[in-house]
Order: sequence, then structure tokens, then C-alpha cells
Amino acid sequence: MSTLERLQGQAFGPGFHKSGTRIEFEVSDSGLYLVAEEEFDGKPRWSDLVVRRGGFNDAQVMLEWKGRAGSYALAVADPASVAALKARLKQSAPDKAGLKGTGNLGQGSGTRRWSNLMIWLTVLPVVLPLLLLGLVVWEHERIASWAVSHVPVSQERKLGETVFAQARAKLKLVDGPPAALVRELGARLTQGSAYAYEFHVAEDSTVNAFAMPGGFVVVHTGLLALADSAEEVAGVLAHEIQHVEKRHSLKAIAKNAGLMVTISMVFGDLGGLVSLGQDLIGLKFSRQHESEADAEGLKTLVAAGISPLGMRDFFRKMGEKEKLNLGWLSSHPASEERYAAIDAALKALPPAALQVAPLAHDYQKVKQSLPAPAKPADPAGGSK
Amino acid sequence: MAMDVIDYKIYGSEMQFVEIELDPDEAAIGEAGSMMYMEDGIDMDTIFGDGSAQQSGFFGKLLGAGKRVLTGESLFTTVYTNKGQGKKKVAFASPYPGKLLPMDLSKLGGSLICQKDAFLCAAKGVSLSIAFQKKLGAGFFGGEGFIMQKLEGDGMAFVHAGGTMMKRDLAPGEMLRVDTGCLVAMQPTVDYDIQFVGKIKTALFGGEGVFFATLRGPGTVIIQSLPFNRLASRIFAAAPQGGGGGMAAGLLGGGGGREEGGVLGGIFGGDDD
Repeated sequence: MSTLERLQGQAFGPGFHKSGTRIEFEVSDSGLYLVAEEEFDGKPRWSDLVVRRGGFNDAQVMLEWKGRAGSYALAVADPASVAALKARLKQSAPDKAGLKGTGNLGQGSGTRRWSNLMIWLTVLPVVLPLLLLGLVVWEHERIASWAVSHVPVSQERKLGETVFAQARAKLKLVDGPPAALVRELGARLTQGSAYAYEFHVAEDSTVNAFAMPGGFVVVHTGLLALADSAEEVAGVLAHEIQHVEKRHSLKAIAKNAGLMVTISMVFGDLGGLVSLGQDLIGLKFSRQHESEADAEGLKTLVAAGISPLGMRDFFRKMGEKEKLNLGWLSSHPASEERYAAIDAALKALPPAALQVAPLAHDYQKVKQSLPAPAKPADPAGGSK
Repeated sequence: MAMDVIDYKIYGSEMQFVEIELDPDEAAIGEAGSMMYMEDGIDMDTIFGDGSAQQSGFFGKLLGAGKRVLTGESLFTTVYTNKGQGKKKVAFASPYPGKLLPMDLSKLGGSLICQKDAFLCAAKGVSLSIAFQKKLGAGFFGGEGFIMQKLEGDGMAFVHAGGTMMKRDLAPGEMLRVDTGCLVAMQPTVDYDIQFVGKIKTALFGGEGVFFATLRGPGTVIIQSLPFNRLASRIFAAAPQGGGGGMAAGLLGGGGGREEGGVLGGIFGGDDD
């Protein structure tokens, strides 16, 4: 008897059990040999055999042939037997060794085409909205810039005027040396700008400054109190001026609106979860604007011949004041982060940029003329 | 691992239950909630795995349990062991109108692929796992979704089918075209695929959908006449308030209204929602 190894399979056909009979078989150069108790046509030659992948998920190897009594099939599922079978096929019947799946047998090309079409029709409505959302978040800068480029400066100015008029009612604006300093520095930093700036100082002990579309900039006395030099104030002003120059308010409106529309289109109205997602992404956009304002502000300081070290020092002080900042929940990056970013940018500057003459203002004198700190007001301005 | 050899009797005609007789120390496992009655001496114990030796170690069991949840079973299975003296009986009932099918896995080559949630009970030692449909077309449009159950072992297992069941032994190469959703169980040697209905007019107006499920032998297949979700949607549609929820607000989620037996429902929906 040959020393061919015996492999395990399940045999179907006349004479076998209707649900298959476990059987051993051998693979030789001439064909198959099924080891069965009763004599039957169990020696199909390769020319009679069809070898293919079949069964659930094409996980089994099927060897099929037509015998005298009818159609037979041998199913091989056991992994060891499948491996051995494949190896022997390569040797004995190389033309059968390329095991193909059932794709071409049960299914015509018509079915495959319809099936592919239906799959696309099913998958596309799910995938496309997600892609759209991804696109909106990824390219938010480009999309917002395009949208905002259609808003003329005059319109933006009108918007700013309205907003400032509303804010002004709640602010207690102060005049005098602090305001003069701020205006002078502001004028120096905004030479050649398309916007007509207005710089104001408001009495508020919180450390803050903000800009409105069209060129309205307000600095709190609390911020002026924290600064120790005119360069530091210039740093803050440069940052706020960049918010105006880069039209961040308008872009933020465009981005948030676009985001809101896209998210509700994709996910429907899921209530709190959606607005939370919107908020988080919106805050991320806001932080990117802030970082941009920091970086561009630094460049304008250098261009105006003011030492940028002031900006850096101011952020270091802010970092010291800040105890807890959950970066991803806030509209600004943590002050420590901003300090680190500015520091790194400074190191990349040519040394000449840092060796400029200090500003001529006597800042300590200006500081002394600040109004005495009143009780802290809410961030929007003084109490009514 | 060898499964326990159990004796059984099926009672009833359209809403059946199976009474399993256990020798001392033999055990049966049942789907959570399927037990109908048990005699004194049977000990009921809920375990995390399915009681087969194939799951070892905590993570093995965890993974297996997680996979089973996807197939429509619960995370836990309950083991009923005869801790008494002499033979004792425990019965498991079918959860919806239909038939209970005793499947002797040893005669079927050791494994069986079933519709999601078809498993009812079996002798301890059977291994329940996922059979994940890899053919996209068959998964989307075949009516069974992408996730089917696989039972492995060499003893008795019981699956339930809705309506009346038909068992057919397909000869090698013999093909049967089946209404989508009507397949209950089949041997893994059977090729399961889809076929386009053939004519567009038939596809749109025939009422059978755009595709058939095709079963190609060799192997044994079990088909049911009335899948339970079809019965349920008919009942629901006839309910006085009028069937169906509102339109979904968004594309992915939003308000109610999942299509019964539709493409997405077949994949994501469970058997009994």
C-alpha cells in the first residue's frame, strides 16, 4: 500500500449519509482515493475532479466529481488536512491548485453587478455625510476664509459698531495716561491697516482685553496693572489687533454655523450630545485662532521695532496666575502653552529683532495713574 | 471535549418545549430565560462562558461572551446539572410559535451554522460562537445579516425555527433558492450566497425583493416558513394605531423608524427587538 498520508474529509453523495460521512482520503498523482468500507466509485481522476473553495465563507475545500451513481462531493474543513491537500495539489495536479471561491458558480455577472450597486447605494448615504463632517472640520479654515472673504470691510465695521455700542453701555471707559499709552502703541502697531482702529481702556480689575470686528479694542485696567512695561502692553495689543486683522470673529461665526448645520444634518437631533460635540469642536477652532493671533502678533511687534520679550513675559505672568486650565474645555490655550509657543518662536527670530531700543514710556508712572481697583466686576464690564 | 449524552422528548405542535432527561452529573445549558420547569435535584447555575472547554482563562471567556452577545444570546448561560440521584428532567420552551429542532451535531459533521438567536438549549459541552459572514453581498442582502451563530460539538443541540420547518438534504451541486430570512440552519459545507432575481420588473413588483438567497449543496439545510420578525411586523402593521414610527430626523440616528427586515435592519437589528 502506498505511504500517502490520510486526510480527513466529509463525503456526500450516493451511498453516503445525507448529512455527510466522515471519511479518510488520500491524494495521489492520478487522483483521489476515498477510504470507504464498501466498494464504490471512490477513485476519481484529476480530469474528472473540480476543486474549489466552498462552504460557508468559502472556508472549506470542495472536491466534486460525477461518478456512475451520481454526483459526489468531498468537503475538507480540518485545517491540517486543508494544508496537506494544498501541498499535494501543487505536486500532483498543479492546474487544480489555484483554489478559487464560489464567486463564479452560484452568481452570474448580473447578480454581482446588482449586488455591488446595492451595496454602494446602502453604504454611500452613510459614508458621505461622515465624510462631509470630516471635511468641514478638517478644512474649516479654508471654508471659513472663503465665506468671510465675501464680507466687505465696511459691513464688518458696521457690525463692530453695533456690538461695541452694546458693550460700551456696560463698560466704564477711562481716559488719561493709560488710554493715551494704549492709543499710541496701538497706532504704532496698526500702520497701514485696512481698518480704522479705536483703542479704549475700561475700568475692570480682571486681566482681560478684547477686540470686536472692524477695529474696536478694549483693554481692562486689571491687565494694565499686571503688566510692568510698555512692551508687555504692546504684546497684548498686538494679539488683539491680529484678531481684527484676521477677522477671527467673522470666521468664528462662519465656522460655528457651518459646524452646527453639518452636525445636525449628519446626526439628526440628538440633543445635548450634539451640542456638546459642537462646543468642543468650536472651542478647538477658537484655540487655533488664539494661537494664530499670538504668532502673528509677535511678527507685528518685530516689524514695528518693539521688543517681543514683553509679550513673552506677560504670558509667563499669566501662567503663574492661572491655577487650573482644562485646555480642551477652554477657548484659549493654557497660558503656559502660549508662553512656551512664544518662547520657541522667539528663539527662531534673528537676534537683531530682540535688540531694539526699549519703549520710551515711563510705565510705572502710567501704572500709578490707574484707578484704584474696585470690587471685581463681571467679565463683560462694570456693574450697571 | 465530549458533550454529555442526553435523552429528550419534544412536546407540543406549534409552540413546543423540549424535556431533557439528565443522568446524574450530566448537565444541559440553556439560553437565558428559556427554562420552563425542572425537577428537584437539578441545580441551576449561571456561568459566564458556554461551558465548553474551548474557552479558557478569563479573557477567553470574556471575548467569547462578547461575541455571543453579538449573535443575539446573552452574556451568560445557565447550566442545569443533575445533582440528585437518578434521572431528572428539565424543560426548555420555545419563545415564539414555531418548531424545535433536535440537531445531533455528531451526525452533522460536528458544526452547524444557525440564524442569529436560533439557539435554545443543548447538552453541556457545546461551543457557541460567531460565524461572521465575509461575503458582503450575502451579508447585506441574504436576509441573515453578517452575524450568524456557530454551534460546535458532538452531542444534541436544539434550535428553534418560526412557522413550519423544512429539512432538506442537498446533493452535491444541488441548488435551492430561498426567500431571504427563511434560513434557520445549515451545515458549513453548504454554499450560501445571493442571486439577483433576474428581471427588473420582478425585482420591483414581485414582492420578493431584489435578491434571493441561494443554497448550494452538499449538505443539510433547515428552512422555516415564517420568520418571527415577519410575523411580528405583520401584527404590528395591523395594530390599531397604525404601524411604524416616524421618519428618522438624521441619516444615521435621530427618531425612530427602522425598517423591518430591510437592508440595514437585517444587519444591525436583532432578532427580537
